[in-house]
Amino acid sequence: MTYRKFTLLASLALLLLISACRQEQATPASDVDAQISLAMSSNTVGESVLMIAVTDSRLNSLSVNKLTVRGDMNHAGMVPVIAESEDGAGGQFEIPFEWTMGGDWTVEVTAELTDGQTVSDTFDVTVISDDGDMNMETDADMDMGDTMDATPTAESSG
Amino acid sequence: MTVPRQSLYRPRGLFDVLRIPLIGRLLRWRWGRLVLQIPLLVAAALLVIDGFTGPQTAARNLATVGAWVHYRGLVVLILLLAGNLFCMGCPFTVTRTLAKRLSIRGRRFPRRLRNKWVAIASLFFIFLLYEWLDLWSSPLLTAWVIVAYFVASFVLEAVFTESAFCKYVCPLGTFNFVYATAAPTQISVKNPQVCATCVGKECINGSYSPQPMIRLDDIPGGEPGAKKEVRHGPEGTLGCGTLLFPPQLKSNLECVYCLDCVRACPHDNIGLMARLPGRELLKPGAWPKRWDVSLLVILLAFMGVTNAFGMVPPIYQLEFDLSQTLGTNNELLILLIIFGFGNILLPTTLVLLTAFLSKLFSGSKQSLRHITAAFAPAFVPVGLGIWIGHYTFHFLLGAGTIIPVFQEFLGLTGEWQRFGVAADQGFITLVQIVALLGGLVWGLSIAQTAALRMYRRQSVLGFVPWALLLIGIILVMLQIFSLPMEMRGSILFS
Repeated sequence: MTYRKFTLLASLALLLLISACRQEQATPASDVDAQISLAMSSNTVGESVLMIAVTDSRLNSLSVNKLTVRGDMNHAGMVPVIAESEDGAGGQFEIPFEWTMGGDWTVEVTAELTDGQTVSDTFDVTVISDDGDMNMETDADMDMGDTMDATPTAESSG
Repeated sequence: MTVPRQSLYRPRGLFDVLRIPLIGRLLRWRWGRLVLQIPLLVAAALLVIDGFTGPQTAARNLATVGAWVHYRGLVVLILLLAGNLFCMGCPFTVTRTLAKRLSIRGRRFPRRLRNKWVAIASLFFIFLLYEWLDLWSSPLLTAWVIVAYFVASFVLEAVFTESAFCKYVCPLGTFNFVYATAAPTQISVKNPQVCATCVGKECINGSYSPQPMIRLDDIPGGEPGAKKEVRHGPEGTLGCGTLLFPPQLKSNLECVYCLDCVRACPHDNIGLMARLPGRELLKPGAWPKRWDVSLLVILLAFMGVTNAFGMVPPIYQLEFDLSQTLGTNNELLILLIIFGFGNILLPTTLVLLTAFLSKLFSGSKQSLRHITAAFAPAFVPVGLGIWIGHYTFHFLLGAGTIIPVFQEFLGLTGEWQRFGVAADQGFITLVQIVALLGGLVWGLSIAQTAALRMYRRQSVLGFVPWALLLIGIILVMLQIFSLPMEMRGSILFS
């Protein structure tokens, strides 16, 4: 067997080995009767406060041990913003969160319930720069309510 | 083929990189190119796998992080500091030998397409796709782009005798060719007289043959009757894929740094010579005086401007305004208008106008084509400064994120807090300003040299229009870099 063929085969074997070693990441239970809603004080670049509620399908608050929020921009290489809180009362959390850059974000909220189960949901958020679109229509996936002054909310994309 | 008495860039006193211990020997080794290609092939495969099967969040997928952050960030720096190493290690050509064996009738690329117009079109197309399909945010589409490169390279390599994909089509390679002209290395022959008496010209014809063959060559400058044994066979090396003839090589414009010429040469007469960075940019006659070559270099600089413009807030206002004016939500049409204007129409018009004014002010009788060709090299450092300023921005913001992304690829917990740290914004801004201003100063120097050579006593008058154009480009870029980045998808048109 020539050196070239050997090298190619060895590379393919290495590749298969690496791929095979990938472990499935634990996914939150899909049969949990829980839902997450997200609102925010501001969707412009800078400091904001995320208001998160963890409830069941009848909108009864659930007891949460720990809430983790992770925001990723939709461009590769952007450092995520991660925030955690264990101070939610009755499944309601207010978490300081910094939008570091304008653009499209994916916000993943993960709640560890007191019964040991984990529920997660993702939200698409568009963050506007300070110098951004002052004269433009509201972004399509933003639920701004009936007035422009309403607290921005985000629709689940999960 | 005739051989000039002396190779154009035979460096004096500069050394052959291939004589550096270990590295040189490794690169000259028959499988030396594979040493670079195999890791990049593995990396490309991992990007494809994660792109197809991994999380579709761009910041958490190897395909998008690897391609749009690390590849782009590293390629511009390595081109400036070393040369076209990414083409040297290109994984898309690993199957070149297999493709060659499948080659159908060995036809050449169509004569009408043997120029840079196809390359300009492919660059325009890939940048348009990047904006239209938001490649930067889609691991899946990024993976498909990588697969498409493999397929296109293999098919064209199999159909045509020369490396048509590399030489005429590949947008990555075209980008690398242009900015490798600023590199501090170049393929060059050591002794032109050896080439003059060489019988087989293996550098371009290769030393590969299906059956073993031995030829006896005269040894230049040797004892009368002394012979050198030259062996060809199945273990030989294919000749230059882009059909470059090393004794006449004046530029890095079409050199993929494969070093096949080095390995094929039976007289060990070819080296990868160190040179002053961008030396060819100052040499008249280094490039063909053709519109396609000149416009390729100039348009690529303008594409750097529009590519950066696509990431700041004003682009969204522009898209919205055009949408309202034209009464359409067709994003492809909107982007075609914006980038067709910004990448093709505007720069071409500006270049023709500048060349005309330069000719008018200087009283030169040279054609616009010759004038543009003389000043086109000045756009290499300017364009390189723009691309470095843009790509290093992303690289410095998120270089470390490849580690937690890879950890998550393996199913581990990504250490984002530890590795997801961005460089200081002040430092990033400094790098951008240095890149832009450094490129401008270098470009103005090249333009001034061209003006002196072409216009002599009227050089200042002929230089001014080009200087204003170069300065204008950099001023626009400084403005763009001062704006906050804002990456959005196709929300306006959803």
